[in-house]
Amino acid sequence: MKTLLDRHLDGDLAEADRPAFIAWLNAAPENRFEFACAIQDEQTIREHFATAAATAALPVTTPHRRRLRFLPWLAAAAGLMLAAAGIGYAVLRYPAARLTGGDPGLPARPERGAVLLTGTRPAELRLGGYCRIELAPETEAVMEGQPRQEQLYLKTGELRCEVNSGKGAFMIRTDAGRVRVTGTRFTVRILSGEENPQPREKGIEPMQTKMLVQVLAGTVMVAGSWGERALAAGDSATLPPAPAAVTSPAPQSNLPTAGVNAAVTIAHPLGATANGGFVQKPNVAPNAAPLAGNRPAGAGADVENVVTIKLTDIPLTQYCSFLSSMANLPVTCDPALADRKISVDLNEVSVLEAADAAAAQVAGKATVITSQTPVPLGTVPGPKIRILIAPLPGK
Amino acid sequence: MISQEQFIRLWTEARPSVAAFLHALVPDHHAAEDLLQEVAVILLRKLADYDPARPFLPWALGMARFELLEHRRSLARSPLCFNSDLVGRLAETWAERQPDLEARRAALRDCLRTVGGKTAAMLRLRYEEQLGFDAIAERLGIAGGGVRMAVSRARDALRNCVRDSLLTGGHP
Repeated sequence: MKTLLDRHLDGDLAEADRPAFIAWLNAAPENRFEFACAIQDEQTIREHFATAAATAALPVTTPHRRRLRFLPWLAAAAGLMLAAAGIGYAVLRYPAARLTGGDPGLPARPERGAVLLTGTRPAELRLGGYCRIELAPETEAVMEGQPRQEQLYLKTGELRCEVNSGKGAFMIRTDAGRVRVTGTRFTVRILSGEENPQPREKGIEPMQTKMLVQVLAGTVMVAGSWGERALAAGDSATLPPAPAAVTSPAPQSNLPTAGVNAAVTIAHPLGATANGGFVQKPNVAPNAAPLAGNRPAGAGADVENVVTIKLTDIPLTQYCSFLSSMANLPVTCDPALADRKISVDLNEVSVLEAADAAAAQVAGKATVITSQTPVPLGTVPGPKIRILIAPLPGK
Repeated sequence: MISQEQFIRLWTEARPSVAAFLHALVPDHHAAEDLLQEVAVILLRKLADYDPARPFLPWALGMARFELLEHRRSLARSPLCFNSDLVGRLAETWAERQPDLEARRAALRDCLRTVGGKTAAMLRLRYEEQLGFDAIAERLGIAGGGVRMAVSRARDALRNCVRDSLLTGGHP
């Protein structure tokens, strides 16, 4: 096995040898320890020679070569201190928000929760050192989010955003949906007046907020109760889309991208006769096309609501009720599993992902679901559990 | 919740083990280093969740494990497609055998100081410049097979040195 281990270390392990190598790793804790030792050795050797090279590159100013013995240690200590200082700096010195321009009276260093009203002049806001946002005149936005997850709620007006990738997440939230990015340039404008004509007859449809998203570079994800879609550079979209755009049939086994007025049911594909998972609500037709426009906009479900949940050993029924209240839609689960307890630790995930997490746990794929658990949206691992979106009954 | 200063101290201690764990499962050196940075950031973000009454390393390894599984797509391209169970077992090994691994690391550092001459030059090309065997052979003007053999022997010698050092509890 040593030969295989050496081959692995050299990156020469043949395809045919892999099953044997993995079997060896699975076989005994001592094998895994040997593997750990070998990998750590490689890492230590690499660090040793990297440190030696760095030390060799340092100018030697003393004729007493004995002092060189301490240089690797000094270099390592200095590197350690720099790394520690770097981490400390990153933590303690998260850049404060800075606002310039706008009408007099706007705070130069607004804090989270601050309402930013630009008035007659545009303003520029910098968040977290990685987001630059231009606020057009007559724009109202609220600072939300947290460090490295900056977020603005755009109530009216227009924003132009530039986000440097790799530093953190950024999201614009509006009443019409959300725009999520990690590195791009885009604009978001709340449509009003002639741009967003409303029905004149009373009682037909309430006032609906619409937004125009234009992507200048990169890719953004836009989402709302109407669904989710990606916009690439050069794309622009008015959202929510027209009702006709969300009438496509629901897929059989994956989540549809549009789910307005939909109910989430965590169901066994075989229906209520199956055990071991959630069952769909009896009066909900499975696999039917999502309805569009049969409920007033804004009064329907929001399966894209972002939730943060940390619960330990709670009954499944309570979890379903919790999701139901968060999503404003019926989430039901198998009464036979009412006493089943689950634990979740989810940070800012959609309700669908939260439902996925529960389904995955019930399916025995994980003991505790966290935000880091890879549960792809709408594709619960395992062949027997899945999530369906179905129309609300007869509304 | 622990202070930032305490975190830095704990992370400094745990970092080599987390790095080795990630390097074990992500053969691409740079990808593993990127992942390590990502794990450090995640640990900072989740610091409030850390229970100081519990050891730090298993917690950090747990986060690294989840981050690794998040990058499953890139892992799938690696020479070893470990499933999540095996990844979990390896994380346990790193956490449970941390004292042994730490002692081994210290011993190996001492042993590495005794390496010199052509062997050191070869190891430096292999580990610092990350050259392949053929490139090293070309650089040093020797046969490629000879380099492979020499590197393997150097590893063996270092392992023996570490073993002797750990047995005697002293320096090589």
